[in-house]
Amino acid sequence: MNRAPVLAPLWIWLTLFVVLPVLLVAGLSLSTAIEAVPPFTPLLANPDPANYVLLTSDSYYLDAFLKSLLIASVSSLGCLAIGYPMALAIARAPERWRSLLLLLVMLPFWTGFLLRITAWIGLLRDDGWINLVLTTVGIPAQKLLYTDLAMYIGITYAYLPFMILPLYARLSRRDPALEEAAADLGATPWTIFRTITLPLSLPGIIAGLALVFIPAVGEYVIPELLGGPSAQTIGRALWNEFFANRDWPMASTVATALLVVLLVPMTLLRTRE
Amino acid sequence: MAELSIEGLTVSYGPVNALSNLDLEIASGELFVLLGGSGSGKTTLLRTLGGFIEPAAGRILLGGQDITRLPPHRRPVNTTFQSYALFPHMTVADNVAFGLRRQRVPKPEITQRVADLLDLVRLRDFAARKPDALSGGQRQRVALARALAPNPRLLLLDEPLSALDRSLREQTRQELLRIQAQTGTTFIMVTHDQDEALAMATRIGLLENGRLAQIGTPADLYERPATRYVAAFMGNDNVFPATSLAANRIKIVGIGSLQTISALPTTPFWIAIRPERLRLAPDPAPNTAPGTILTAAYFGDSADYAIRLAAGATLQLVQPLSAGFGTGLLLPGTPVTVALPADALTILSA
Repeated sequence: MNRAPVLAPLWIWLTLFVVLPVLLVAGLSLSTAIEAVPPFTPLLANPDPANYVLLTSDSYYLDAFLKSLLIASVSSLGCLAIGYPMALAIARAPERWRSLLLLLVMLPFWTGFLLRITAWIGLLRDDGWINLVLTTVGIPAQKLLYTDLAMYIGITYAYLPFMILPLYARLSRRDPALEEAAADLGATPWTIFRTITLPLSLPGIIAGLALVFIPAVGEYVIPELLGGPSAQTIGRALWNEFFANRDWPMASTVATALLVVLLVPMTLLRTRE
Repeated sequence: MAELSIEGLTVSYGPVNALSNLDLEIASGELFVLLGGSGSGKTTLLRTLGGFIEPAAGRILLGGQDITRLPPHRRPVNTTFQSYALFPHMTVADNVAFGLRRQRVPKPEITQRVADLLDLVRLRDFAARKPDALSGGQRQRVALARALAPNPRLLLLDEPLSALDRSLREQTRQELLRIQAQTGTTFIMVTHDQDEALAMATRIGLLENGRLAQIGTPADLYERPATRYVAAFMGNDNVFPATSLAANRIKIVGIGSLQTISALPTTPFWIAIRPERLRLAPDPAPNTAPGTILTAAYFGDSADYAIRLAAGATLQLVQPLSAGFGTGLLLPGTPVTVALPADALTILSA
């Protein structure tokens, strides 16, 4: 059967909204910012790699990249640490409970993302609910909002479902006979987890880590709303270039570099599957 | 002393008893077969021995040690699971080594023992493969090698042949017997297939609704079933109510008055007659009954008939065709005389 007619809308969509914009951004990264409308020299009229030279030579960008990679790594590991026990518990809950528990995991998606992050401001700020509880039990109020901690809490909170869902999908397919067989052969519950459950869930772990890591690297909103000024992430650098400096070509350069960096975990994810 | 003693074992699922006050003794080196239909409790008993189900009452003694409350990983008992349950992310060798590693056996010893076991199950060349790359019969043998590796006192086999196709089943059956003889390990095997049980068991325990209906050698169960249930399970449909008329003389409902050689109970009882012990007689004689062929089926080595007797009963009769080919099949409607030898009439207790 000829599948072309069925796949045509997909290819048209991908070309119009993925391939072309990426090419545009890549082309734009080779122009120069000017005071005009639009604020850059004509596309590919005079390709100039100056932006890339600046990107690799100015430690501002490199630091932002490293900071973003660090934040994304810590957040995805945090999501794994919290999400794995949750996914395991849901996968082992009685059948009739599972769909309800999964629904609860996805429930936050029903509310706007910005609204949920703003809610964290209410929880974390100096006179917020968390400090209210702390002072009530006699602990002095802590500086929470606009710190790295607040940013990590926010990112981990926002991306946790992306960790839980692939882990659950993997863990729920387990064969209970394998764990029984391991116990039968002398494995303690911890050894069963270490030698059977954990290795068999590895594809779910990798998928979850990638699904959290990839968007977290480019995350702009959460560091901006919850993080301190020191959390100069690549997402914030990109935003500043574009909106504050009106340097569209430099913003495009940062975006292109980010895409290239993220190809590494994406390729890893693809080959594992 | 018995290697395995089960005393008063009761397992309940809610208000239902899956096993009721079960007593059983198994000697060292036996290949004991637990036979029964689905829901008879045979798998429950096996899983209770493995430590996966906690009994409500009773004791399990293995080599004199009470293992009733030990968790599975602390019992010197290993299981081959019906689905084999091989670890898919490990090689054949790692699967077999799993139990030895848990016992912290030194590495060189593990390597040696894994090699020996793979030789035993004739899979030496497959050590580096993953279970995915094996056939059903090979997986079964890996499961067996893995369960035997820690040198268990007792090996439990849950329907070891059921997932194999027919030709492989016969071959694997002989493999199992060879390996059991070679290792001397006590085997308890669960099956629903009475032919498998007859061919393999040193003794059979037939389970009915969580109770042992009969324990005995294959010949005991086949030739001297204790109850109607046992007779039917062992493939005998010729079971009829009867009463005693005089010493050595009985009246069987639907058949007539016959001579027996057994001592007779005074109350009404049931009689079982194996289809292959019945004969087509040339003439009426003592212990015969007239009838007509109802259905006939040709099996090459035997002919199976259903015969409606003049007195009303329908008998199953198997006629061996070992005398020579060309005898032909009697057609339905043919009048015949059935001989019921006195020593073929088995008196059932219930």
